[in-house]
Amino acid sequence: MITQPDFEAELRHLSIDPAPLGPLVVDLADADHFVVAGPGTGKTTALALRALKLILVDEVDPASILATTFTRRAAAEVRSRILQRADQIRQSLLAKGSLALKGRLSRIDFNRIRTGTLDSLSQEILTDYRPLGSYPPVVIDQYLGDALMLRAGLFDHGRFRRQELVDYAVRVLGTSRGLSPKKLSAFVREIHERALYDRTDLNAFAGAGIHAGIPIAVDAIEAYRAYLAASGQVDFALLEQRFLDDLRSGRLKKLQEEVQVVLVDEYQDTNFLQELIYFELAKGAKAKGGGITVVGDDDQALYRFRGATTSLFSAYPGRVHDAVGIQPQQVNLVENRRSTDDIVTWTNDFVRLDGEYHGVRVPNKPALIRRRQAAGRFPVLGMFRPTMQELAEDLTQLIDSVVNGSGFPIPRSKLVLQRSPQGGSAADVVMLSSSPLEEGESGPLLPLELRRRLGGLPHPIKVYNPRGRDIASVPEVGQLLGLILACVDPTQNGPNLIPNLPREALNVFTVWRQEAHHFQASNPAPQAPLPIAQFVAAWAARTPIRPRSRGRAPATWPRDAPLLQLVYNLLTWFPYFQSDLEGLAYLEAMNRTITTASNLGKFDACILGGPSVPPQVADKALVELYWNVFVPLALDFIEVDEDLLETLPRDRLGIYSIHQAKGLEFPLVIVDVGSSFKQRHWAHAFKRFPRDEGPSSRIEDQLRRFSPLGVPARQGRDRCFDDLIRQYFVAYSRPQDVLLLVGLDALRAPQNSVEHVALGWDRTGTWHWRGLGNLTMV
Amino acid sequence: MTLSVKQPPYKIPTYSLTGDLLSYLTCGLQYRYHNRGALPPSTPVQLWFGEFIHGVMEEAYLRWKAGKLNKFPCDWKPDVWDIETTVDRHRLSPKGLTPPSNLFDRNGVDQRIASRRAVSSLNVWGPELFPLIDEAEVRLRGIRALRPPNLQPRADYYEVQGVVDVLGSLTLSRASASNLIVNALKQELGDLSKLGPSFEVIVDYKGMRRPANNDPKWNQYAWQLRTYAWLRRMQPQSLPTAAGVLLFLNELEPSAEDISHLQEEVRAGTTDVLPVGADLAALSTWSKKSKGKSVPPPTLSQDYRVKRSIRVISVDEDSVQASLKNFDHTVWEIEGGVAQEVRGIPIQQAWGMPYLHKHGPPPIATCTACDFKSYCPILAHTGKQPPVSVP
Repeated sequence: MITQPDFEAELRHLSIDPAPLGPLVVDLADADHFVVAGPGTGKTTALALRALKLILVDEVDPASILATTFTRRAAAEVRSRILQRADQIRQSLLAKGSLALKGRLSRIDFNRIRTGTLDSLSQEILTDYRPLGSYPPVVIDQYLGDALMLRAGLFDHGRFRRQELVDYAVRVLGTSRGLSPKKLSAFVREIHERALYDRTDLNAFAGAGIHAGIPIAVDAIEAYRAYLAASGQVDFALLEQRFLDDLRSGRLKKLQEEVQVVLVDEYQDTNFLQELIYFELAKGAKAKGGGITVVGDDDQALYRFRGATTSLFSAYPGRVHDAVGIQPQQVNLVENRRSTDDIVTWTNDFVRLDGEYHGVRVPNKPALIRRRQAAGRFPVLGMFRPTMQELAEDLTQLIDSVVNGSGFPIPRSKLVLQRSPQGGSAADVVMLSSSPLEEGESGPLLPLELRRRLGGLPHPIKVYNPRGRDIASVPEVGQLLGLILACVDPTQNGPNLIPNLPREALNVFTVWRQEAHHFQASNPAPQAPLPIAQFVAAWAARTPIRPRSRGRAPATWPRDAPLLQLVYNLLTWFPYFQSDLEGLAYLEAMNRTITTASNLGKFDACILGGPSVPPQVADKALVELYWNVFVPLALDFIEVDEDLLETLPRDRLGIYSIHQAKGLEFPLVIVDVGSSFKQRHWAHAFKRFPRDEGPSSRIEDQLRRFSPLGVPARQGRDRCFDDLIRQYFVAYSRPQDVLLLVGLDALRAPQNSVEHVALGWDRTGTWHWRGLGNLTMV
Repeated sequence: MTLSVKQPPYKIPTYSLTGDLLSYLTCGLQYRYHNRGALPPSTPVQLWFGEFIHGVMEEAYLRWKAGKLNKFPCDWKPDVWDIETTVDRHRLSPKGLTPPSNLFDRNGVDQRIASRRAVSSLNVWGPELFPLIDEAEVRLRGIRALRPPNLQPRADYYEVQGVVDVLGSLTLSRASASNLIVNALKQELGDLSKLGPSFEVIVDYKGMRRPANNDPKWNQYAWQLRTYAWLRRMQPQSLPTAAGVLLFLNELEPSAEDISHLQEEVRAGTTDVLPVGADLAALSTWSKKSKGKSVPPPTLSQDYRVKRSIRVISVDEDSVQASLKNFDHTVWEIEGGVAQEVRGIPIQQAWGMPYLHKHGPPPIATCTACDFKSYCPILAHTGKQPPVSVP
């Protein structure tokens, strides 16, 4: 439609230099690429421009382009970039093009590009292309999957109490501390998912005599899968399995005849099942004269613990050649536009420290080059203190100075770290760590210490940490759930009706009831026309109160009262849930559990009562509520949907896990490398200097014996080291301007210090950054 | 070092025409809670029925196309009941939508009103509509510039989405002279041949009764169809959209409450399809209760019910542009609410009062059914906030 030079001119008009993207914006539709894109090198832009080039220059139908990425957020960003640039270019061309061009341009529907995560696209495709008479797949999320594994897989037949299964889990996980029902369920689900992703023969696995607990785990998995199948549901792993089956069987022939170009982002997080899907799509694309472009960075592969196989990326050229018969051109994107020179240098140095790691990287991988126009140099900083409390105190002062004050002077220099006077705020600062949890077994962790201190400043700074605590431990949530229990089960008889109820859940119910009691005793507003105590008492006695019934014969208690209705009515006394964004997100999580319960049970998440309901039937409905609502909430099966928090005010400091921060960038990044590592302790070795292969590698090795992939050649302990290197590579490559490492003094002592991959130790025990003299200490 | 300012990821907000824009226009705060906040209604009567009847029509069409539903009129059992349970079990239940027991008997013993409406909808519109459908469940997506005045938008654009069935002119021209859809089109648009040799008509089902003349929903549905027409225009295989057809399926099997509303509208002259003859007599003389007992609604003539269940919306360039502007303004309002939240304004303030000032209070029926009424700032402001009840 337009020429290549015109297309490139349009890009430059939008201040996009096409040169670094090389063949991606030049090659024809039938070209295949293997793009190795370091952090900050613009791979979202690269994918977007590849799509636009194919549409505008090569006249590829937008509907024949399929672009996938790993997260919903990334998919939204890719789509948004494509549509934004497409419209900008279209408007520019319409303003100056010929009538014929205008006519053709006005008929291009860029919106028909298929974008999404592989899961969302699979779901959409299986729905749109399903044969007549078949049903669209209904996909359950991870949390419902965990809850269903517990319910249908583990509670059923009392499998969760089978000692062989517990022993097996302990052996693989490496500890018996905290083997809660939730952890056991998550463990069995991990086996279920990995078995699908690695195409493992589960029967062979169960029958191999490795451990007596394995057949029980496999039974639980089969019960779980059967339950889902009977209710027409799939989890994400089963969805992908079905997608592959339909591709291979020809049921998606129409799709394969339509898709001409496949673009895959974050390929380093692909698993074997997904690889097979992409190869099937690629075969169809090649048959239509199209091609496949995959983009990724093996140094940012963080999802081996969820079944990804990083070697599929580094070995991609050979694997796709064997499977599809193509030889992709390797394109290296190395120009980092995100970070300063100091940060790019630091990141390059870090990833090259461990000689053993190079063997698993993409061969001949070039280093990142800084391309950002940065003003001056600014060193990588370090803050290390004897105790976590002192660290939290000094870190608070630093943040306060930057966000609220006139800046933080860097000792022994003229440098000052300050926020931008034009719109700078706490949102420009983030703290990353391996886990954002605010409380551990031994008490508060750095995120909670920081939250408290920042909140106590003269100009308080709020913190945003959606994964910092269990929903059920939020005070208002506990109060609300306790009030619900007081209403639906005033005599506390429910647990007596359930012989297998986990003790952990019982303890949490007790805490909720206590919190509700205190809350009720405080007589919260509004006290009129109906105080909360009267509301709860009326519910407990099943005595209706209707405004219009005052003075007339009392109404009868209905046969079924939806639990959701009780929740919404109780919100009358909780402004937090009515108006606060985080409150609303917690409420949504609770309600999601309730609507899931209505799906799982026979009583539609209702409280049965009234004169027409036999007591034993009411009890059955109550038992269902306990199993499907209260137990999952008590055992922390549900997490907040972070998408609901996207409009949180910008005035908050973010605390994330490194995994959560992937793909994001921030002006100032604080990386907690060890605020709780006071000494070398075996309990946290896996977070800094692994002593053994760890649970993920153990499961991987066991399952891979029965998978076409075979057992990994690389030792499990080495894989754990590789994971840590990647984790901190991602952390260190998030900042735009300043990187600050924080931890305890034990990590920097020149002798007998605590070993940590993040601080320059390699797996042979050599400390390349001894004493951390390469950091500017503050 | 002066830090940069953190920029949010670039993301074009996406709006569903029905799920977002029409919902917001019903009540801004309720929209914030139910739609953006993903809080499901405690008794999702309208939500369930709307999805149910859509699902029944779509599933029935697929079966008809596959030759598995080839006789009209169909019987409840064995023809329609199977479709209903398929929709309930495989489309609605997995989404957490359970049927209100007064509408639908999951055991299939009682043919309650949802089932009666399913049968009527299929028997009236199935034979008329299905042969005319060229493409079913067409996904529509498009972007529009986002330029709200006095507000820095999150993105330069917003994306709008919808799903429709499309009728093509070729199939329309082959329809029989007595086809109800074709005749309704002719009645509204005149001689169809003047539309040219190639055009399309978009169809949308509504699981509700026909609105009264003064109900803002009329305008909103017209905007909706015209916006669909604009979205459809951008698809390469499309033809110009000449009209939209709304099918109000509840009119085929009105409940007692529907008849009550209709009575009021006939008396006030606020409905565009008035009864005559026996229908007028039946409506005039019916009373909800007699000697303290409920009286079943009168059976109105099929002809009258069919007329009430169809409305044709004309589509031309001016009306399309006006509709797009109206939805642009709606999106600006929603984005205004978002911007308030980002500034730290509590949710009730960010969504309740601005909606009230712009649109006035929502209809009484909306508030009566609302889960949040006992702490709603809009109702508090108008002095109509009811106290919380038990249960």
